[in-house]
Amino acid sequence: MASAKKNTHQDHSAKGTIASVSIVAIVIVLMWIGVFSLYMARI
Amino acid sequence: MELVKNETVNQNKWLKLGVNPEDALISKTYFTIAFATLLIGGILGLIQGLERAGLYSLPSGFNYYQVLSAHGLLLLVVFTATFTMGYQLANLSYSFGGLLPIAKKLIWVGIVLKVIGVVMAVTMIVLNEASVLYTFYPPLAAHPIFYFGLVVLVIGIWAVCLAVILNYRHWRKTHPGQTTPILAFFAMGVFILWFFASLGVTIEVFMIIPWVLGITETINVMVTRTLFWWFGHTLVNIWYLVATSAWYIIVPKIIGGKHFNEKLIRLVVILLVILNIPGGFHHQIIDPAISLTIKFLHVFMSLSIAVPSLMTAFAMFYVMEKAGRKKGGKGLFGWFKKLPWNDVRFLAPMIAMIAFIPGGAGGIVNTSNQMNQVIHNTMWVVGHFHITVGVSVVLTFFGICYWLIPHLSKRQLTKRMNKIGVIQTWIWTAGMAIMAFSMHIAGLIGDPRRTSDTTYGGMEAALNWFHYEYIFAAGATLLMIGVIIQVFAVFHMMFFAPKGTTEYPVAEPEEDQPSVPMWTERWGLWSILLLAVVAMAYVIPIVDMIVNAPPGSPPFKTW
Amino acid sequence: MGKLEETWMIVSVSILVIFMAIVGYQTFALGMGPPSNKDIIDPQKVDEQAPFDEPGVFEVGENKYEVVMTLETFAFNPGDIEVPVGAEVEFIMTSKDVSHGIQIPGTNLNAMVLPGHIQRITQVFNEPGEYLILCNEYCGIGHQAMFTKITVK
Repeated sequence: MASAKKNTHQDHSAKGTIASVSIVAIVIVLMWIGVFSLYMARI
Repeated sequence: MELVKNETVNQNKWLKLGVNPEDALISKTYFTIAFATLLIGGILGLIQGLERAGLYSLPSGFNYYQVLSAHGLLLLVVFTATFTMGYQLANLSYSFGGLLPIAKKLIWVGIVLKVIGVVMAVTMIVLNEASVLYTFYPPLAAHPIFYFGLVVLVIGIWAVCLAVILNYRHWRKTHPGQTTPILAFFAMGVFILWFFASLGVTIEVFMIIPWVLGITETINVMVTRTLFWWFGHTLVNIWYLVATSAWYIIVPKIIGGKHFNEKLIRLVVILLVILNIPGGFHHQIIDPAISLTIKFLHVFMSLSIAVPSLMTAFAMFYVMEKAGRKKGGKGLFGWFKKLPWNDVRFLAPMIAMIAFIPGGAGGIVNTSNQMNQVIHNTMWVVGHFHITVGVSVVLTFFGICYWLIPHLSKRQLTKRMNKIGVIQTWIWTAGMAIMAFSMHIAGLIGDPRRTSDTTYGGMEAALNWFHYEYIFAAGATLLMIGVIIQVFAVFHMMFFAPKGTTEYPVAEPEEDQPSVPMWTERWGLWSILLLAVVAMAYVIPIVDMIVNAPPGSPPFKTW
Repeated sequence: MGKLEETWMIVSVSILVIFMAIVGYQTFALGMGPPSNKDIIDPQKVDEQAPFDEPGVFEVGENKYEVVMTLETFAFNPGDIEVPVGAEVEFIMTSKDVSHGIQIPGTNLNAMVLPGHIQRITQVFNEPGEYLILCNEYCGIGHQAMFTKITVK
């Protein structure tokens, strides 16, 4: 555990952030498409 | 240079609040009212959940709509407003090194007025003279005392707004060339929004009072509805802005990180303040008397409120990833595991933030014009605001309690209390998750909100709703347990926890950040822009509603 | 960091713009907008004014129907409507007292019906069966009892 610790954080990667916000985008799109499909099915 | 100066200022503030029992008393008074209200409102919520599922009948003399009116008013207005004020005023006192004497006086006047106003309104509900629900849409007409109560309540809120503005101006005058501490900046946003939000409902109530007193015979139904939502939806975003102040500034400190670029944080606050009020229109998407063009303009305006929230999503993940990686988190999501999940001060707001993902996505669905027809006034909406308000906002508030209350009462957050908090958070999360999820589904298959237990004559569509209604009741039961634990925790930390000191966890900026631009402090300008946006949004439809108004409606008491 | 955030904002805002484009196209090109009728009426004299002096179901074209309906606490008039399968039904409604809502679960028919305002909404009923019509805007102590049905056969 402790050996994994880095004393610098300049090499901080933002790929986790990108992955996380992508999940946000997916939730938004899926929820919207879900209700939109229901709307279309009920026309 | 600037940073060094800030550091010493910070230390001074640090000493002043906490040793300043007068300001602490204000916040503790607010929290006492807030959590007493939560207890009552929570019990009413449980009663509704059980009644709706057909598991419980109210004693004679009381009805579902009365209980619902009280639940809505107590939790949506009283609990959230009093908690907000207790927390924001503590932030202000912390940031400014104490509140001004005049501000304190105004705040106490405000507290007294608010209590009087709420007692007036709630008494009328208890007497079944005001079963008009949280929205009190005319031509439903409650007892005049109900509306007088609302007026007194609003004046009480304005007193606090004035106190905050005076205090802010005083600080700016005595600290020329300095930007205000970020938490005070948030507080200013919150109270500016409070003031402008309550203008709408105030005008509405002043239309209603002469009408219920019989001075005017009729009322314009559309105008009052529209003015209500001017307030009603902005209120939602006031809570949200309060919650984000903790997400941006408190959470990073707890996880051992730094806060996000302050200029961008300020931009988010300013955008939320300016763009907010017209969002109310998406509550009226299937109303008559508003043209399709105006409705579509408001689809745009409502969706624009999502923009600062999308910025927030990025900022929060960024800050958390950085802190998690510093602690040795590897790979795509290793940082996520390194976050302090056993610390209630983090866990509660973290779940709150996660809940805002489906919460915000649901909001985008609600405002998507004709798609609103699928969900309007169904249980979906109830699920939506239980996940947004009930989790994103309330769980953030609960998390704040675990450091702010011991800080104010000069006590410690013990390991045991932290554990209780963690358990409380998971119970709350489980309760809300099953309740809100089943409400969303029930809504999609048509179950209407705000409706007392009924089988609709045994119609097939209605029979399918019952399964979900049992789940609402199960969720409501878990939430009641959560409320009891939380109320216990709050009062224990206020009066019984071991003496000591508790940190006020305020995050610092990154080292290499540019200084914060002074133009962000131009609240006069932001207020004018807010009014310009309101004018853009409201002038055409309201003028249309007045000029092309039908003969008005007389008052009705239909309960 | 600035660059990444910018990319995120461009992507996410584009998603919102696409949503708007879809619902906007449906609203303005295909006439699928939400119910937004602007006609008005004196809410205290609903019974005396056409068409509400004669509420009922009227055939107005080939498998096209108009339902002229008044809503009041706690009833829909007319109730127990019958239409043939595939009928395109336009509901023309107003309230005689407080605010009401009309909703038919399983369809997109969902509209607010307010006193003083005449609301219109159209629905095609392709599946035979009994549909529940309910009030979904709180209107008083008997709100939950305000429902009727439409039979499609």
